[in-house]
Amino acid sequence: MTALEVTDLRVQYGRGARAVRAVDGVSLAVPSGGTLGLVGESGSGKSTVARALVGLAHGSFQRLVVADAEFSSWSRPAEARVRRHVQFITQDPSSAFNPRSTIGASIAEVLASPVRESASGTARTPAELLELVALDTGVARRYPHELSGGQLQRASIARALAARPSVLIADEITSALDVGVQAGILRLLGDLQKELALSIVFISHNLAVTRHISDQVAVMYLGRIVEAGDSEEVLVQSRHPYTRALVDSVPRLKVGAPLRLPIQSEPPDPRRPPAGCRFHPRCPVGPQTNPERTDCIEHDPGTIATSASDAACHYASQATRTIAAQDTTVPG
Amino acid sequence: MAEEAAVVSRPTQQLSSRAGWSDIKARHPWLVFLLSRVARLVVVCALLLVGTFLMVRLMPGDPARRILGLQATPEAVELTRHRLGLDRPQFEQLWSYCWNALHLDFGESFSQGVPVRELIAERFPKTVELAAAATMVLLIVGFGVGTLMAVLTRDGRRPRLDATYGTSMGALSAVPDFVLAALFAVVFGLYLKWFPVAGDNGLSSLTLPTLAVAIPGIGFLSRVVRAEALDVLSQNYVRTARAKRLTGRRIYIRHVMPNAAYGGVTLAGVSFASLVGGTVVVEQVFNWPGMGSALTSAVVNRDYPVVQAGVLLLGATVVIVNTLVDVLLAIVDPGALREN
Amino acid sequence: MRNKYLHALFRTPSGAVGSLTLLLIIALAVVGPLLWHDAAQAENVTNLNLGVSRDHLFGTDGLGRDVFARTMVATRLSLLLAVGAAVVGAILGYVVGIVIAVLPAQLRRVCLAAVDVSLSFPVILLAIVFVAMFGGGTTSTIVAIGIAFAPPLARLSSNLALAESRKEYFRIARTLGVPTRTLLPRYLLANIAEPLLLTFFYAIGSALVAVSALSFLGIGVQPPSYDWGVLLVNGFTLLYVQPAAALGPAAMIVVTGIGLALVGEASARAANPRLAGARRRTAGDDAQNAQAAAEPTPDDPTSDDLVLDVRDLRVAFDTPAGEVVPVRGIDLRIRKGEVLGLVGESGSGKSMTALAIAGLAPANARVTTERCRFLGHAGTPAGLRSRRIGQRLAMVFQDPATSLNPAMRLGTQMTEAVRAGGVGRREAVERAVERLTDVRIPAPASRLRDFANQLSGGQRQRVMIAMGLMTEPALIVADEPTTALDVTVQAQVLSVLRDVNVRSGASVLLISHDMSVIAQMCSKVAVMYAGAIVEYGDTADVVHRPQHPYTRALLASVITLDHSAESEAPAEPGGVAPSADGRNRPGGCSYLARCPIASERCADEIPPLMQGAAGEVACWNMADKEQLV
Repeated sequence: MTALEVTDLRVQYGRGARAVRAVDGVSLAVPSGGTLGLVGESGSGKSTVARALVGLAHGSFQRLVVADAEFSSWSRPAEARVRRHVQFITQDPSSAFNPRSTIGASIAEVLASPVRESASGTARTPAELLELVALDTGVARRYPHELSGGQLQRASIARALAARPSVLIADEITSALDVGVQAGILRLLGDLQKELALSIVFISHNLAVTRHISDQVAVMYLGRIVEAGDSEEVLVQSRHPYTRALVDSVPRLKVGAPLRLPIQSEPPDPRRPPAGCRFHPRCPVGPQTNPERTDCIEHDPGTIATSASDAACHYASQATRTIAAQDTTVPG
Repeated sequence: MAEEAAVVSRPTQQLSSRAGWSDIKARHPWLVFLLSRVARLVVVCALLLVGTFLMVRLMPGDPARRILGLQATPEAVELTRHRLGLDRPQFEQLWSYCWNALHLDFGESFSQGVPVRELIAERFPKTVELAAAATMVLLIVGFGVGTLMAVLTRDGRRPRLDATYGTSMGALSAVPDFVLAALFAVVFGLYLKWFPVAGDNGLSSLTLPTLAVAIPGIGFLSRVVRAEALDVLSQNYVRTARAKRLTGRRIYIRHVMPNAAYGGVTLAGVSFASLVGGTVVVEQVFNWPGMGSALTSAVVNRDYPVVQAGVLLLGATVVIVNTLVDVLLAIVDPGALREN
Repeated sequence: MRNKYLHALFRTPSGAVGSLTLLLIIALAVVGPLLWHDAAQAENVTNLNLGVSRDHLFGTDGLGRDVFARTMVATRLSLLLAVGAAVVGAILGYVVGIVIAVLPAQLRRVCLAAVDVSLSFPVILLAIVFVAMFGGGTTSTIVAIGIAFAPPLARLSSNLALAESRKEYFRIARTLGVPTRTLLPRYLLANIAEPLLLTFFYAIGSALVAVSALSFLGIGVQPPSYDWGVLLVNGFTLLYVQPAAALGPAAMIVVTGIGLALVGEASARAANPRLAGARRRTAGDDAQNAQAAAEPTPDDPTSDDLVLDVRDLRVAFDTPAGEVVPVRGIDLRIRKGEVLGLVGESGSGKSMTALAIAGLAPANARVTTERCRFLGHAGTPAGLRSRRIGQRLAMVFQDPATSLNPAMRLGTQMTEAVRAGGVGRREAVERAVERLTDVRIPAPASRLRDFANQLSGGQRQRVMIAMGLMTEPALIVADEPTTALDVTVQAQVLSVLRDVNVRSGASVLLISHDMSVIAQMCSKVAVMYAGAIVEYGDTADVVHRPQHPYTRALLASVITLDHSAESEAPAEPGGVAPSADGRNRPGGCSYLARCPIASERCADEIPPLMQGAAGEVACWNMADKEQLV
């Protein structure tokens, strides 16, 4: 059972030499009632995937399945289906509300939208929705600038729920918030998922948060998914050297732990992705350290679908062990 | 392994390496930038030509009749039509108009009977003189006052000066140039007799028209420069410069001024258009023998060839100056070129 | 809305003067022609070109008519023409502009280019062209100036509408299925109406000038009708005989123009909250400098080891709403080579602390200390007389993209501080190359000629560090240096910072909201809450045995990779952090409202930093005491 599925999603910005293939053949499936985490560095295309899925970025795909309806291109019926079933929550809640409307009015206009009349599930009043996200009902009369970041993010979740979606796409929704507030939002998301049987796409640069909330995880690099699988499997026994590097770069809450520096260089220009494996110039187990691994330069390992537990790396099966042996540490 | 092959989709093809336009664009941003500006200039000038042509053709009624008046005989009208080429096909007329205009041939002035070209040769340099002098005064005083006010009122210092300045500059820009010109003529010309009131007798007679053209712009430009400078002062890189313990002087000269000038020059380009508009009016007041006064009397006298030539030349001047400002800005800030 | 404007108009003297002037002019426009019509028409051959007298305030014209009466009568036509032209321009411009904004991208680009072209022509020139086409007269003046005004208004409205339709909330409303009939009025028009109205107001003023100019040139209003421009040019021919005939109408144009400008300015201030609350500077800087001067300067032998010793640092701001105190008396001591972490939520005052120490607090901040020594010298580093000593404190800011000057080559930016200190050009460049190598920038020599936008985010931050290293700092204050960076790049920047600390022996004050970054980097840590330090000690003690309830809540809410989804959900500090201003602030402990272990004493007395089992804790019921009971 999948709530949302897309095959070979592509998004391109600009044309000619300046063209950026922000998303280059991404296939993903969101399990019904489950959470798919999408992680990667900035510029990996993870947010573009989210925006393309709700029609905010113009993308093409081979197949899009929304609540059992299948589409082969972005069309009016496809758009209508997405509007009805998929909702989007953005990183910066302060820019997500019309500054001239109260929170209550912003929620009410979603409830009044003609698309909603055919929606399934229970219709709720703005007050009920605010209660659902643990906000005081008085918030309905307040303007966006009168609320804190955490309160606004809760309100934007409430507004998204007013549309009675079956899939929620959460794009870096906690990265602008303090850790304490972040914890509260994550717990709320978990509770809502259980209560309303929501399927969630959780996009984040924070691996720890993603692991905490996701059932499945897909790792993106330069517009492609390079590793996917159960979140424990991907983030604990990573097979792709990039995933491994990401995991190792995360600072631990352990005093005196050595500072690990798995990658020395920075991401390449997305307008000119490297030939062969896109990660090879930065790869700790690739041709930079093992000159005999020329296939990394010559052959593109491609992209993979989230439905498969796999890694797009020529040396995926050996990667884990090799990195463990070569772990670059800085004396602390 | 077979299973892996099934899920690993085919890699996308690499970008073909053919040297296309986009390739040139990436390699020579300067060349492309210059070309695009020149192309724009050409297009605008072409539009100007067509516009001034249509201006006369789109007028209600027969141009020949309008020139000669209601009491003219049909023969005289027919003769004038022929002389103006109005009896030929429209497209041919447009073509010959453009061709002649490019050779600065606008035919003969109806009212004065001399070739428009001679009139231009005599009048246009005078307008250029006035506009150039006014632009210099505008830039020097506008940037000077604006920067000084930014420094004096930064971080909310001297709130009273700030308010006085804002109000007086607002009031100053509310004074139309022709009123200012009239005022100058009365005060400095008639009563104080410091400067001549009319005509062209060298520098002394240039002074009043120049000030009358420049001053309304100064009110606008100095406020823009001040706002830009204050904005730059609040930027993070100025904080960095302060963290480096640079002297205040160096921070202003090296970090604030160049960045504020960028915004200032952008708007100076805009105010050049209104400055040229100002010359049209001010020339009339001081009887300055430039293009503007020729243009206004031509409109009154329905001397269409002169109107066409005047609009075309003044319009082209503004467009060319704006293009030069664009190029200048690109030279000052090569970073912007790469970003766009 | 209306009240807000009215209030703003009459709040400032200039706004009040402008509004009263305009009201007077409008009244004149209504009653002028009724009162003075006959006087304005009466010709008198015996009174030709008379000067100023009691009977004729502005004298008489060539037909012996009273110029004052004519000026008053002309008020109506002048205003009607100006408003008419502005209305034509606004309708045309706004409609075209908004239509352009909603066109498909390709077509929109073409239309905008066309608008830009017409925008580059002088308005008066365009008006002259249209007058030449339509012929002179009242109606054609209105139409000509209206059309000439349309391009700038079209450009403005399409810019505003486009910007609005690109706003995140506009796009999200679409994905939420909010229909267009709601989107247009409630999102688009509601948000751009205010600037459009203001511009319309300014347009009336400009139209008055343009109409008068056309009439003045003799191609606008035609006799026997007359507006101020016609009167002005008639008077102008008499300038030598009797100047009042020209100056009277000129004065009316100017007074009306200034009235409109003043009212426009006041409404703009009311519409823009940033302009409305005028920033006020306090005597903060001076107080700070005076204090630095008062303190004795000789070196303190006991503080040999201390790079920075700050006692009771306070930062306060005066705002219209009252005093705001983001930093309320904190002590910081940083030893040579030490890496001290300062951790806290946003709004805890940690960044303001850094800026105050570096002497970079905003000009309107009131910074006070009981004692402040940097390298044994008294005063804040900014207040120090010697620039050389002040330069031994280097800053690294959160946002590397905006902290470097975009218009200056990196080499110049890196070397200017030492060059000002007398170091030669060649030596400065050599040192810059060396420092760039220290922070692992590849090909450093060629980088010096680059601009900041040619670097990636992580490189920019490393250049910032290298730039700070140019002056051989004793202390590097790094304010959230990696918050804007990716994890892999964060690891690189942190390792460079660690390198620099180890190699050069410079102390580091690392400010972060991220406990795990602090845990990896710092030997000591200070936890900041609501402008005060609530816990201070060795990092190992604070992280593994936190004693303050806030520190415990903070640590519990950190989600790490070791936290799996199965483990207990992380805790969230209850309630809301108190705001920095004095309002709703409890009398006792600032953590009271969120604290799970508060006792009665906490409500009455502010707990000072006290010696705990390990380190210092500002809590009456600190963990160890609790365990002892």
